[in-house]
Amino acid sequence: MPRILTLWLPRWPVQRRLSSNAELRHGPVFVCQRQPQGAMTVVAWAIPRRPAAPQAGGKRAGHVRAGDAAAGPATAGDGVAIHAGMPLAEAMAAMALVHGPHACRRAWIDHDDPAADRDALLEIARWCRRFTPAVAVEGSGGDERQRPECLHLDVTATAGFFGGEERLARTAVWTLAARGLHARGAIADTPGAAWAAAHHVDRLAALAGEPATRGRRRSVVVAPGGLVDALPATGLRLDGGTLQKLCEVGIDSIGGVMRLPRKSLASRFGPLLVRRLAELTGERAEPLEPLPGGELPQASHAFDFPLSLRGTSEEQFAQCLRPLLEACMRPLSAAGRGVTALQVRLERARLERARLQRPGSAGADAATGPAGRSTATSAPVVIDVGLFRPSVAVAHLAELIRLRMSRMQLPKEIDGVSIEVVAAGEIGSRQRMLFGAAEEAGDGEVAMLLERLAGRLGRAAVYEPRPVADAQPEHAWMAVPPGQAGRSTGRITRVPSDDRGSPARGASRSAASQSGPSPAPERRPFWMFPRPLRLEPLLRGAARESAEHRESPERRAASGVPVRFRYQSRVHRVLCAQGPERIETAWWRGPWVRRDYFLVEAVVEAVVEGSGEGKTGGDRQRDAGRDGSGNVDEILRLWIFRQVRDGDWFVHGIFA
Amino acid sequence: MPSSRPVITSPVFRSQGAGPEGPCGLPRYAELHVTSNFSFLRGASHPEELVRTAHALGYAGIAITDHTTLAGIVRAHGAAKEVGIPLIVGATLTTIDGEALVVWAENRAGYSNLCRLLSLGYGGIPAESGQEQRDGTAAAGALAENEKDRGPVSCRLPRDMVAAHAAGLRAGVPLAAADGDWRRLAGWREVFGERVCGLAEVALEGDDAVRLERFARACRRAGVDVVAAGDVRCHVRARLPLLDALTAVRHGGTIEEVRARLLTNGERHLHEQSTLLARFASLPGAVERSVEWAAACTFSLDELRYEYPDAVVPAGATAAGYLAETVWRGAAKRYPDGVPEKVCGLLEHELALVSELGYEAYFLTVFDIVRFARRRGILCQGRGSAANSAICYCLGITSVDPARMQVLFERFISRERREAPDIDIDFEHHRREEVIQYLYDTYGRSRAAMTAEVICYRLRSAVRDMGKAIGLSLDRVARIAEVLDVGDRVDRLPERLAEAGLEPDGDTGRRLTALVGELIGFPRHLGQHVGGMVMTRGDLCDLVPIQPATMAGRSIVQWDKDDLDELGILKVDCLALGMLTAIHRAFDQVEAAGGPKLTLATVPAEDPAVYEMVSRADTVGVFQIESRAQMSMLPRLKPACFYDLVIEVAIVRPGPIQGGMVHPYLRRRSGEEPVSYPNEAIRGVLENTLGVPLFQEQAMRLAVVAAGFTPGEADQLRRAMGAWRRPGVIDEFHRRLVEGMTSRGLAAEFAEQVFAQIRGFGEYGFPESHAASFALLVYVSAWLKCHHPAAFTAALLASQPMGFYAPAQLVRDVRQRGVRVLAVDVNASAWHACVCHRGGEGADGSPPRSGKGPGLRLGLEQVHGLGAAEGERIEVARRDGLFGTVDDLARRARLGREALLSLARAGALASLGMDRRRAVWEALRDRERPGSQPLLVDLADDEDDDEVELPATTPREEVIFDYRTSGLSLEAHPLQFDRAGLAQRGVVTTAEAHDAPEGRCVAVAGIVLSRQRPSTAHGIIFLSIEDETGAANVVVRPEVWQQAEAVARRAAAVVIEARVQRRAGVVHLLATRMERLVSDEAAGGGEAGLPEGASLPRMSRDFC
Repeated sequence: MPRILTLWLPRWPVQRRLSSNAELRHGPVFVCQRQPQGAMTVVAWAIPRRPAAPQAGGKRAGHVRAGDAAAGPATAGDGVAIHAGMPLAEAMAAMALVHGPHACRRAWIDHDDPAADRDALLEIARWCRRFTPAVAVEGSGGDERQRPECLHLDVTATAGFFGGEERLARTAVWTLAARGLHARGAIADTPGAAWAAAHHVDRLAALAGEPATRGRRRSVVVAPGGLVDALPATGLRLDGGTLQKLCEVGIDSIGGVMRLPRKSLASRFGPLLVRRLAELTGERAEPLEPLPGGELPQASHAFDFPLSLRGTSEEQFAQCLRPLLEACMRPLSAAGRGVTALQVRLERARLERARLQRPGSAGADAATGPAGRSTATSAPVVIDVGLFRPSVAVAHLAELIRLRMSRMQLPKEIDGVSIEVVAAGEIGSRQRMLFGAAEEAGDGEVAMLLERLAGRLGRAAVYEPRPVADAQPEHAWMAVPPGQAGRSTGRITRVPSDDRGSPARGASRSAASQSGPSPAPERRPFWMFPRPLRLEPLLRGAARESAEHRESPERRAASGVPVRFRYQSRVHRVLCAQGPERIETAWWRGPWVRRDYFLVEAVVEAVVEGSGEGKTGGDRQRDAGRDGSGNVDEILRLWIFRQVRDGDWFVHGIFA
Repeated sequence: MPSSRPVITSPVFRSQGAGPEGPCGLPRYAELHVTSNFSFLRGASHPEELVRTAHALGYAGIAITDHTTLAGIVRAHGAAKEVGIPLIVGATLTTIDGEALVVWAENRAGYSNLCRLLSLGYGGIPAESGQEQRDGTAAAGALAENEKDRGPVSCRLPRDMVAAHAAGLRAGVPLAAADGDWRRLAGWREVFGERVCGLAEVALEGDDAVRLERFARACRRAGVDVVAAGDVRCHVRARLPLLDALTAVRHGGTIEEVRARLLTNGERHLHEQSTLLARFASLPGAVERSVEWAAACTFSLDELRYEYPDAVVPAGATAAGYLAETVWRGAAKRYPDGVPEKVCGLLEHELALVSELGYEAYFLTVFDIVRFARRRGILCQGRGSAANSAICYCLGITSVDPARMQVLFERFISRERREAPDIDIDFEHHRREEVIQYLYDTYGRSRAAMTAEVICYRLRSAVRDMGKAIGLSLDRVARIAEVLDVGDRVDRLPERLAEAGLEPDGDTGRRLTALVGELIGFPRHLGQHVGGMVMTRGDLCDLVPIQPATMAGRSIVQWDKDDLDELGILKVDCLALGMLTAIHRAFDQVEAAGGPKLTLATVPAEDPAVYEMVSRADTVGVFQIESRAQMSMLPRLKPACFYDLVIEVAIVRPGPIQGGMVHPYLRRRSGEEPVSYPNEAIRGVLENTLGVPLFQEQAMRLAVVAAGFTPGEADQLRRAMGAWRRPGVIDEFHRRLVEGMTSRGLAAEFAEQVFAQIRGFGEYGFPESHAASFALLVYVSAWLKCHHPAAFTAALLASQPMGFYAPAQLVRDVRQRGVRVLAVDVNASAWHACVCHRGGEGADGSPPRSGKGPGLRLGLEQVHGLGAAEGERIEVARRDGLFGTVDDLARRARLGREALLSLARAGALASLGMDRRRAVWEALRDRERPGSQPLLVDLADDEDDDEVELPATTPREEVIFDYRTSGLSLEAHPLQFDRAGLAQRGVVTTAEAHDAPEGRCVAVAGIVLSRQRPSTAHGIIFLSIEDETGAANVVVRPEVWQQAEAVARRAAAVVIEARVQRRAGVVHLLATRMERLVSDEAAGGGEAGLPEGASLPRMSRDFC
């Protein structure tokens, strides 16, 4: 008989978020799903305990602990009755009932992301391979459960290494707890039985005559051949409809179901129930599927003696990393893949760890025991390196790691270092063109440069602008990660909205006729200032009318473009002006922006001497003029606007 | 109605408009391209606002050209007439290949063409004859397509369809300053000839000068006029934020997300003429030409002549002659002992007025509908002001005898008003569709359609849409929408926002409040009026566009009932009334049980037993007087005759309550206050109601006899009551009333009092005629309840949902009257509940009649999840003999597993000799296509079942099962099982609470039956709760309600601490605290994590 350890991570969607964002522990968390009709329903949730009775730890009261999640499926957090599938508003109201309306205000609401949940669970599964090579995420074997929350580990052969099953189960649960994850574990003969036991650890303990543990008991072992009959029928991994039917005929325990004539079950409750019973008893084998996606390479090196990072130069450390990186890249490059994200872990020296550890703190259960030998409870220092495009270049990766490390606080001494490839992607094999090689190489160099920059400045500091349709010029672009500007992010797409350009474009004409005309590119300057610069009008009145821009005098008078103005210590004379283009917008994100823009052509009449700043500005201007046409009296084409509110004038850009 | 008038800041009346070209003061611009908010989510101003602003700016005219709709045109017309500015009727069309075209009606023919074109585009009418075959299918296709996507109906206009209806229309092509302009212009020129122009529209987009030049060039090349226009979307610049928000709603995103589709500035509003002259200076003549074009479109909605269909008059007779003949024949039938003199006089007076105003055909049409209904055996009765007409009584349209009531024909038809009389007829709820389809059949799709109802933004919908648009998260929006109460006005919004956790004074809060304030009252979509049918002699689609309604088989006109009123178009309201259905069913049940054959007219009148029952407030299920408010009034009023019922129906209404008439009336009735009249004329008016005006008619007559109004003026007064809140109106009538009365020697104090009372009717008051029509149904239903409780309850159960009470209360009530109620059973129940005889079989068994009156057998319809078709199969199959086993039932009635399960859960298989769990077990077996899946043959079991031992059902489980599956239980009340625990907590039963002395504090528990928040009650909530001893009325003050809002709103059962209040034999519990009732067992059941298995479902009917 095999022995299966099932680890249950209750309310995994919430736990995943809590483990990656500690701030969430201060308030209620709801993970929601949008229904087709637009209503939001709750998928998973966690509500902090009411800070009623000050606990021993004092400070920790009022925080969400992932452990609250396991308090029971129907009531979590002081009897707030919420169930999955409940409308969000209703769930919030139910919470407000117990915790007061302020709890709603603090609530953090996130959209459901099953794929990310699954990926993160896979990550945990990989990590669990330290207990046994045979690890599977529940439901990977064609199971119907849509939201896996459990891992199955085949520990038949490996339990002995961990000091027996009891100890293994405890170790697994507590090492996960050290990673900030709340799990319940149970070992039994079949995945089905272990699943049931893991979900009802308390109940089993109580049946075994243990004193009530109030949810603190987190692992249990069902002896070989032991039964789980007394557990509720929910332990059978059934859908709600089947459970409802069982409830209607008055059956609520697994034993109750087992006592029903097996022959009559299929036609009444469907084949699933029969299958589940068979899986529970082991009549039907439930093989654990290996983890999907193939293995991403990892490599590690343990030092004989703790390595002092202070005493090691960067080059020396890079020498240590090199073989590890090479070991990781070899299988990838053979498969035509490259790394897009990797993780470097520096294991803290045990001495240091011992110093850090206070006696009696968390982890006492596992780490101090003999079984704690291989499980580090003080987290290693983790360096995450991400790439914009897949790569197998060891030198490049080593440099990126070095750049990251130079910005981090590192432990003094380390025991070992390991590298794990977290994500990989296909290295695009592009067809090389005869004369395109240079360009190709340049492309790659740009990418490397970007990554180096990102490594030094942080990924958020490197971006690429992308045009966005927005009436306010300084908002007409957005920053996207480099290399993605060409791709559509799906959220904001540029709408070809100037319907006047193609009047017979089909049915969209009517829709477009309401849509705002976004300006043609030629009406936007090539060089736009990040902030508009004030200009000082000197003489208002009619400027000379130019031949190409015929404007009525009346209009000019109305627009009131200044004939002469001072800008950057120089007096400009306006030759002609085109406009106005009125922009009124932005009311929904701040104060109104109301401006009348003009395109003016102007020449410099005089340089106002005096201010040093003006001089430099002027010099630059002069230099620019020399570089261009060589004519100092070059005509400047400026984009200026008048603020409708107060009539102040600004320059916002220069046309090339 | 628009909630706010346009605020026009410093309108400049042609101040600078007098340029060198024209004489001073001549208006020189007419706006030809205007989108109002009836182009849903495209325009940001009401038509009235646009028209008034255009007038204030001194325009020569304004067109309303909404997107393929004329829905806003009547409002614009009314406003234009009021301020005196020419209105050009038009629409913006978009052909299926995407070309936009603005068209205006030059004349009546052009208008007809436009209506017809739009109707065809929507598929609202079948295509014209000749092309019947081809286009008929096309129209059907369009209809089907529209029904498929369920979105707003779309108007599909092929180019040649537009071309075929071009006569009498002028067209403008909005220019795009692109190369294709002239080609489009030239194309439309082939269709419209000289009657097409290019619309030059600029809005400060930077290159306006270039654009204008291109416009001119394109028009020159195509050989058409270039005309200035504005593509106006709102009347003032300040509406730009709302327009942006509406754009976001239309594209289903936040403003931030749809940035690309927003206007870049707010120039598309109505500008001063001087601005426009300057703007179009480089296009000489373009502005002036807009006036020429506007002047060429002379059509006005006043030209519409409505003609009533005349098909109902037999050959050779005139309408007037036929009507008179029919009326007198009817009168003879109504009064077998001779028509009373009073009625004769009334009839002659009315007939004269009808023929003077030419409404004969209308009466005959309504008569025809009623005759049709009678022929089909559909109960019907006129309601509303029509009951003021002796003609209607004699034609059988209404049932209120003018000999017994004071009738006021001017309330119904008046010479001054010259507007359509309005006859509303109630039909049996489930058979009204027959009447509507009869009308469609008689008049054809192109001549009959239903009235539209313009569904407007209200607070909650406005908050939802605007909140999403400005980027609030969905859950935040949902939260705000949830804390809003139905009765909330805009001014309470900040408070509510705070409640929902949104800072009302923050930027977002202020933006939301401002947008919502503007949006409320905006039309949102065209719905279907509950029953208004419009019929015409000629084609209706020459008068107004017809479009398909969202409901299959219905079409609607684009105007609502106010629009139709404004243009004098007659309509007949065919309404559905559930109580008529119930009464009809009760009559049938009485007859089936061997009783007499009853009709509305043959129910014995003035039965003292009925009044005695009504006076005890024993009126659960009785029409109109079963509500909490009515029931608390009954013991004080103690109705003793028919007229008392009329008063009872009318008095518990917002009008009399707010007018402060209820208490004076009650005091006078009980003799606490003397009844006096200032003079004899007033005595004549108010004698019936002890000197207190309770009905609209009395207010009108009072104005006539006391203040010297003419009957027509009095009717204006009534109409003005509906618009009291509009400033100005009320003051004018106030002055005239008070002056009129004081000049006739009445005390000013009395005059003010009368005015205050009349003002109350502005809220909501009943006309006496209407109350009388309803009172008749009150009496009939009370009579049935009194004498045939089983039949009456059976009929009510069959007509659910209806009234205030759920089946559980109706059944409890009838059981209290000693009627034995039998559970649903496949071997006894029909689909509907029916009367059976004690110990007897059921509807189809032989009734061995024994002793104590009939019992009531619940119907299969009570079983949740069972379809009517399945119920019918059970009934049919049972004729061959009773069912012996579940298999037998499944086979003979061809029932699927779900149906069997529903029956089993509801305990309807009891007669097959098994308890509920066993029945569910049996029903669960898969019987679908036995044998067709060979693999499953092994799994099929028949013999083993006997071995199965299922746990027995506890009584509590039985009851919960009952409530979950049929909404009621005959076994026990769910609270019974918690009683011991409740008693420990000091909770008493409702019966004990009722016996408690005034002022005592008690705690009671119960299932919530209903929640009500009457608009007159200042936010007080009325809750009815029920436990095993009976129901109790709980009054919840707003502060208590707010404390426990979540409980109060959704809990299935509650525990309430309250103080006992008794008044005139009625006991109220004034709640001081409330909490959810969590029963011990239910709490325990939750642990197993079973999906809601053991909990009680929510049962209440909520009206708040």
